[in-house]
Amino acid sequence: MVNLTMVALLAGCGGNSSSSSTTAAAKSAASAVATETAAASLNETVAAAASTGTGKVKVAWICEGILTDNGWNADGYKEMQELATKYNLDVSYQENVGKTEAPDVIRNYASEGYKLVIDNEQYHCEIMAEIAPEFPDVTFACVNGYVSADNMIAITGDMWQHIYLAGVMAGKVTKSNKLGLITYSTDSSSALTMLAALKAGAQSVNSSADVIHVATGSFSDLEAGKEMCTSLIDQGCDVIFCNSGDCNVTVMQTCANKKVYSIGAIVDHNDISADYVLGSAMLPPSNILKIMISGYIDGTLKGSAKPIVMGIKEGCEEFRVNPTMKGKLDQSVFDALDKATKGVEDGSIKVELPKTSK
Amino acid sequence: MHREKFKSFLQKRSFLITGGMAILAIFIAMVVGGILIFMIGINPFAAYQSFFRGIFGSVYGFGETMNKFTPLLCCALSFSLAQKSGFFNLGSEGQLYMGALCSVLMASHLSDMPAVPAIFFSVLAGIFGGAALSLVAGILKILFDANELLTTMMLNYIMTYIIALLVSGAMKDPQSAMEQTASVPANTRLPSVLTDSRLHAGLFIALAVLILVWFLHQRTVRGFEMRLSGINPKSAHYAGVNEKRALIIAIIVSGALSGLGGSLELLGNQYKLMDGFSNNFGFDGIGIAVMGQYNPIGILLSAFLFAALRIGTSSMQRSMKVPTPLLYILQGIIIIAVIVSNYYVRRIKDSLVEGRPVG
Repeated sequence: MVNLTMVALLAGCGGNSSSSSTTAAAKSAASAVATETAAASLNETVAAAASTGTGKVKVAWICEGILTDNGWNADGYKEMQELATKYNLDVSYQENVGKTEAPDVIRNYASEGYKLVIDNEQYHCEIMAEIAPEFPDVTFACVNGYVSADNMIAITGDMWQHIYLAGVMAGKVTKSNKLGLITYSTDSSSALTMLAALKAGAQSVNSSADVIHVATGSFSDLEAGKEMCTSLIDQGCDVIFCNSGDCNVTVMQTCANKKVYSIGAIVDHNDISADYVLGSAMLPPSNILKIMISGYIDGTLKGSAKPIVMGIKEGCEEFRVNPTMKGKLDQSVFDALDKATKGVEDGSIKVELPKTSK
Repeated sequence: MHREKFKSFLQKRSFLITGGMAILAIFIAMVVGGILIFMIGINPFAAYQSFFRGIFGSVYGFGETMNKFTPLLCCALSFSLAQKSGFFNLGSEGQLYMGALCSVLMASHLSDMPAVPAIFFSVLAGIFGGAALSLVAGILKILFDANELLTTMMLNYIMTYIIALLVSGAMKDPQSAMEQTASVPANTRLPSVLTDSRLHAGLFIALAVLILVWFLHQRTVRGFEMRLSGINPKSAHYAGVNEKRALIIAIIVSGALSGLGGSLELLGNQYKLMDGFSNNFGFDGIGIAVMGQYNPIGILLSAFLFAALRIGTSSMQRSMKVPTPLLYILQGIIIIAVIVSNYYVRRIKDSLVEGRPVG
């Protein structure tokens, strides 16, 4: 009875309307792909915690970079703190966990009684999927993970819808017909997906638009980001989209200083410049974490060997126009965006993505 | 009378002075660290409790500590042996990478072989790899009198970037989005030796090598020649020692030890090679050798300290949310304190020797 009461109380914890709609969307998406698993659900763990009087579920959250990166990790960290309060979780955080440390950290958490171990770094999903079978009574989760295991939850954005919309806006705005794309590498599957989506979006409204793609080789080398940005501007790019970790903000600031448009990535960066930031193509970990934890607490999400793919309709991705652009750009830009958004949501717009294993 | 008895007792057991001072230094450093932890609002006693719990609190934690200990020990032995032979081998990191690379290349072709020979040849490949890379620096020194401080350091960078190129290109696992090789076949992996942990057999290989290296260095003619050449090459030459040969042997064995460390880490722990595979084992090995005063027991204990610091501080962050920068500060303070304590150990030992009656 105490267990059910605890579960009911946690499940009933209110949220704002956007998280309710997100949760509802997650339920319908998750139920389509989730499979039965032998792993203990957080539901049962919540009950176990209640019965021992601890009242708090131990959850671990790991990130590869630093918590103050103003982007991916900062967003995830902030959301985890809010979720910890909302669902009465005992969350342990560990930052700066690179791919060589990740196996140790994940295993250490799993062996120390943490029932839910979440990794905020998508590339760690492979590591997590290898480790998960060693700890069948622990649930693992990876934000934007593309590989999963029976006792693991991997929720990933489809990686193209929001960037397609960024391409639409960039294609309408560009005068030089040259768009710049900066990513960590130029040949990873996610980089190639971003390239394909940006190009498709731009060319859907401007057949002359083309994309120049460069790589920083680092998520934290700000100088590299600045150099790549300057190089693209020198090559004539007048709209630049950067998705390379800590470099994102530096690139956008460089663009603003050189009076070139930019588009933000991952989180809302529209406030960086009122005049030169067109919008932000968002795939914030906060959205995925909300879906993960709320879905798992109320039992709609269980481990599954198949990653769950979500897009704009499910509330995982979003393209947020900079409100300051409303008065500055032609209405046709926003009309094109609205049309494209509808097409992406109803599935009538598809992009041919690169054929890679991930 | 009692004072003289005590002095005589210590003179015969100088390890007590060394060990005692090291423990005192660590204690003082932890007090300083505790004050810093307290200043940011965390209970230092609870923090240190989680520190020790991470290392000794579970079989699993202890196993992880010893897994970290293994490559650190190998790299420390590598630097120590070379240094005592007159060669400053700063290339342990690169030699470790070369060892891991050769092991993964060998192991990937031995999937049909029984486990024991497969492991043997995979480890051997790592040893040869590390030795070969070190020999490059040795040849440059012998032929061109090239400063090994620079050549070994540069070889570190070369090797690190060769690995980065290979794991993102020719050797990249096509099934993975990460820049890494495929995992080595199961029959080439070092077996686990402790239930409920991932402690692997590489620990015993490393300890056996420690004894072997000590024996080679202290009880053989070749070892004597290496030491003599390290102290004074000209004197060694006039004494009839082929100092160049002695140096080359030291360089090869030194590189082999680092290569062994890379091999054991690959085949026992990570199973695949990737950019950032080493996590500074090679560079930490230098610090361990210095802290251990190039003595096998000292190196053993220092390597354990370094491994324990890695695991314990990680536990502090997980359990008590001690920020990462403060953990690095704590590690640094402890290491500096132990190194400084060596000065006082020498002074105490010197005063005991001065007090010793003549004749």
